[in-house]
Amino acid sequence: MHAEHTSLLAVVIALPLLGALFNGLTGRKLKNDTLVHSVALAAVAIPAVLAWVLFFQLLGMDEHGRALHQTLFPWIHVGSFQIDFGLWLDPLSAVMLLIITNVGALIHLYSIGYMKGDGSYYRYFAYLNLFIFAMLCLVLGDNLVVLFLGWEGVGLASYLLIGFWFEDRANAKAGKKAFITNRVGDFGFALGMFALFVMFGTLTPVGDGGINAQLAANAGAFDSTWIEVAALLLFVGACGKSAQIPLYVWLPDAMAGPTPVSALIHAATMVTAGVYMIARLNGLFFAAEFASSIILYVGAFTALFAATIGLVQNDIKKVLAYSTVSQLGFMFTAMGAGAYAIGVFHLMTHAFFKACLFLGSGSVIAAMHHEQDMRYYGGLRKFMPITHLTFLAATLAIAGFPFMAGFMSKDEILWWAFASERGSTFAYILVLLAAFCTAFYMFRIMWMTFWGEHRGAPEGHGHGDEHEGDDSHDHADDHGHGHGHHGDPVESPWTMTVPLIVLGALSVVGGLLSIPPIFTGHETIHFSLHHWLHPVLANSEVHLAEAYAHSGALEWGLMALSVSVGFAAFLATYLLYKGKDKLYDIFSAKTPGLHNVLWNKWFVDEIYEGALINPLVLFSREGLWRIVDEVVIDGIVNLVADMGKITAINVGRLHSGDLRASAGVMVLGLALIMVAAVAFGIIEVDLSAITSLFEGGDASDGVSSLMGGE
Amino acid sequence: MIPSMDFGLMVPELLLIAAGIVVLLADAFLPREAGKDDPRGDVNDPRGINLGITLVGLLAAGAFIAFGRGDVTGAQETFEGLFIVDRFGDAFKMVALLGTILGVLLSDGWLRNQRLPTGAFYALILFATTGMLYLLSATDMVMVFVGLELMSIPLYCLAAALRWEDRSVEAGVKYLVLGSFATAVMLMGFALLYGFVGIYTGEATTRLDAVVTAVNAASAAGELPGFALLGGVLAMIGLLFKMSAVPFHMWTPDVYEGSPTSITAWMSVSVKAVTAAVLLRIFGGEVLDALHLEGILWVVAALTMFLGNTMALTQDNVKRMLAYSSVAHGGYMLVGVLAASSAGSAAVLFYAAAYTFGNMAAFAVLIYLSRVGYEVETFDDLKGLGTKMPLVGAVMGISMLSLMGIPPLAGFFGKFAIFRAAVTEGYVWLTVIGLLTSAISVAYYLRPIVVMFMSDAPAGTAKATGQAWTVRVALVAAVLVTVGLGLMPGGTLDWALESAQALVAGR
Repeated sequence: MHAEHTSLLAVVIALPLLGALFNGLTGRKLKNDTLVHSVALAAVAIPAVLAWVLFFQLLGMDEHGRALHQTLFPWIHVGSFQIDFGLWLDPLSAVMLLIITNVGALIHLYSIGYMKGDGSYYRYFAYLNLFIFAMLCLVLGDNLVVLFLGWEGVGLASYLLIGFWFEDRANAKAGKKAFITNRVGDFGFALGMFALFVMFGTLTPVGDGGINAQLAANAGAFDSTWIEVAALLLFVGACGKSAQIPLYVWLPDAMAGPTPVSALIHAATMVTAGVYMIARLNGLFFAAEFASSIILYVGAFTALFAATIGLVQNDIKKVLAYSTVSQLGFMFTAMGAGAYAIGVFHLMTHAFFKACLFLGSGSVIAAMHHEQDMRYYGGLRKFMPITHLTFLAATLAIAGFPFMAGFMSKDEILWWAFASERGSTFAYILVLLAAFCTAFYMFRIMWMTFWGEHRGAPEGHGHGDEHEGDDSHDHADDHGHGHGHHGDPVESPWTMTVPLIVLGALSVVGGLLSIPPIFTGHETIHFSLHHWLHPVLANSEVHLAEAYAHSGALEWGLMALSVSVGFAAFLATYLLYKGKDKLYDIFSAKTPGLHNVLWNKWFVDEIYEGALINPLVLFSREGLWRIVDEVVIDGIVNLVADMGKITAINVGRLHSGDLRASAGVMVLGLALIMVAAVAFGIIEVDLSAITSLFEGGDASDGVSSLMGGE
Repeated sequence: MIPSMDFGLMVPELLLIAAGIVVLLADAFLPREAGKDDPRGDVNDPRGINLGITLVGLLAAGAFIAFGRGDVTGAQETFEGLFIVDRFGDAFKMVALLGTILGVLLSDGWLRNQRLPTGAFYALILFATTGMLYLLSATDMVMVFVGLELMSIPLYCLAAALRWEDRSVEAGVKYLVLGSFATAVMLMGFALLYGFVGIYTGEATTRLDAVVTAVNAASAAGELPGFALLGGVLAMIGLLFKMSAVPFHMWTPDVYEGSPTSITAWMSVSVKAVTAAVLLRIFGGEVLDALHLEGILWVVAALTMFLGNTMALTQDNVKRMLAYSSVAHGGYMLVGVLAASSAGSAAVLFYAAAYTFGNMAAFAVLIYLSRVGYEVETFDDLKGLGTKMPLVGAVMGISMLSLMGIPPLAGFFGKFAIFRAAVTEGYVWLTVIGLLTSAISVAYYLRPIVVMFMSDAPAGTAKATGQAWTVRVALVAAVLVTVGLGLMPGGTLDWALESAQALVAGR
């Protein structure tokens, strides 16, 4: 594929970086919040507009040559390792670009209202811009090294934003947890890159000679074992960034950051990086069948596992966090089943409805004076109609209400998990159960938050108090005072509701971008996401046609099943929670054992603590520090130091400063060299010549023969 | 026959000589300011005329080398092949001139503090620099000798510039005596080589290429006589003395300690760079092997790195510490001389440049902190100054880290280039020794940083004020280049490689 050159891409990634630099360097001194958020918003809004320009430029190009390319500068040139800082826009990265810049711009707008009056307003927007820059590097990089730069960059921005209110120790800890957990994944990712470079001699996945093209041309030329190994290593990286089992533990804690951050980074964009990476390297993962089945099951298990935890949590953001982990599991299920376009489709619809849900929760949290415990909500529909409606739209979307965005994409995933030659009935059952749990916990939020009677915080509760079981409560002391203590909750300002309305609308209609073929009778229709991504994924989709060979009746049947599962979940919540305000912990009363397990998140954090962290700390402290470092390493260092010192003191006696001693050492050195030369036979001394010297005769003969040649 | 004399090739040297003479003449007519009640005498050259002339001469010489050589790419000879101009020599000339410019800038501050007459001082510097430049163009044993002496004799005088201070006079005398001794040894070596060429080829000549050709031919034929080998050893020892390689380094600590600080700084960098270049020109390539000097140089390099670094550990005088450190750095350059490939020669060139700026920055800090009647000499004198003057402390820190060879500073790439070339040429053990001794060096290079930042300044310590602009310029320039060469070594490494290829191609 020969890509056309463009200069716009550089502008797209440069603006957020400049915004971050401007606010980061001058924001503290300027003390002008209006300027800060204007610059930050412009640094994302302008790229959002440019993204559409670039999109239409792509649209105008021939379907199979849709790619724009720009090389900014040569980056690393070492021998055969040639990496340029290059940007690449094709249908896949264009989808990501549109999501990141547009959703990003909405969330910047929302943040203006949400973060109003925060002491570190400039810092927040600088980090947010930095995140957008890194995320754009991640999706636009034309090789895996630039992608990795962005990958680490978003990790950094995420760390900074999770610990944004770092005065609270718990927040700082959550940031650290996210960063360290991701290191494990990144290690795998780096190893995967090395393996790819060894195999393919390049780290460019796209274009002529890229990894995908090489595999498409001749997959048999590469060792299948190494392909599996590389794919698995890269998937380890994806597990870290996209919060899959076993590296998902950081994401729920990451909710310690400001809520817009949760929406942008920990729901809509960064956490989908793993999904994007797999789609980008679809040729590799298509060739790696074993790795794909691992991805399928990890995804399916994560989807169910996280959803079960979400059933019982009372912190609204915690529920949404586990929901995100679960939804990412759905995406990986699609990737494992070989349905790359569907995975990207769900990534997109999820970005709409999950961003909407998080921003909606942020709106509620702000109205409730930073109370995140849903037990003190209830009946908010009356006070916050816009938030309620948009939240409901997003809930219906994620729960899979027919023809909403989430229905389109999730139902496709269920279908592929069942019907694809890489899927399995078992995986289907897992994600179906996960779909039930999803609908259940979402409607539980609706009942506890928006419907029924308003409960309100009990006397003495609210601001700054410790809540039991709530280790990620929000920054009440820093932030909440502007909202007043008493009175009914009120609807949020327009800067917060406009993004909600836009995202709520997208949650309703976003699914129409890729109507499943079952409704249209065509495998692909012309203006669908599936069709749009086809040039990028073409070589990895061959076998997908077989899935359609199943009868339509089966697909209709499964669809009916998943829809009825959603309704069943709604019904269950209706029976359990309608009008029964105190029954939100019905589980703890009826099945205390199960509740305990779910409430404590299957005790995974405790298991990690006991099985990994404590032994590691113990080993580091007692073994590495006390023995290896203090005894072995320090011992060697001290030994070397002592030896140096002893040498210096002894040799130093020679350096008395006495002129004759100095000259003497020089002569001694000269003499030693001579002796050595004779001893090693470099200079041969003919002793007979010396005697002949004394016996008279020609002296010059004597001298010349004294130093006999070699 | 009248020899061909192309003075156009000699313009930089002639410019320096002219500047030196002008300084000497102008000095006689310069106004003086009477030093009131100051035993050290009058303020000489208050307007800095001598300094100006000296800098103009140095800059003009440098500019000519940089821009005035025309498009000729190959080597150009004149004076019947006594004098050669090629990219290798020019590159080292640039390094030497830059070192000299920094040295002159530092000398200005020092001279102001000491109230010394500047005319003779600068003239001596200019003449010694001329000697360096001639050495770098020498292709004949006689020229090497003349250049070496032209460089050395002014240095003997400069070492003794503080003539009322015992230490300075002692430095001058020791340098003179031991230096003469080394020169005599070298001359003996040259004489033996001259004799060998005459006997072996039937045509007596002092030209280096003829000597090298004859030695290589004789060695290949197995007819190299012992006295020729002896000649090679002796000739090399003379140069090793100037490199202050162990065991010919005995003069270094005393001379460096006693000499004016700015002269110590300049000697430690420029003389080393020039001598390494001459060693490369004479002994680089197969002649080193033919003369069986490889093993000797190996041992000398290893000893130099080891003893230089270990001896620096126990010094309490910063100048003495830097003197031993400079011995060690000479050892690293010798490793590059051993690996005399184009990569090795380029590494020596880059190393010399990196060392020049890194070391100059350290000395600049010492001079910056000194003031009238108070010289910073021992580690105690540095106590707490980093916290009092963070920028000066930072310069010292950067310079020490560069000398250690910590990335991303110039010194790291110098060491990296040297060791890479050495490993490529098969000197693995020598590289290991080099790395281990580098590790030792960390201990003493960290000391100034520790003292400056982690101990309290004694009561009454004030910020240094009133330094001449020249010292500030030298300080900033040296540290900027040290950082710049580390961040963007690519261009300079390429330049060094091209220059070195000119030398290797000419062999």
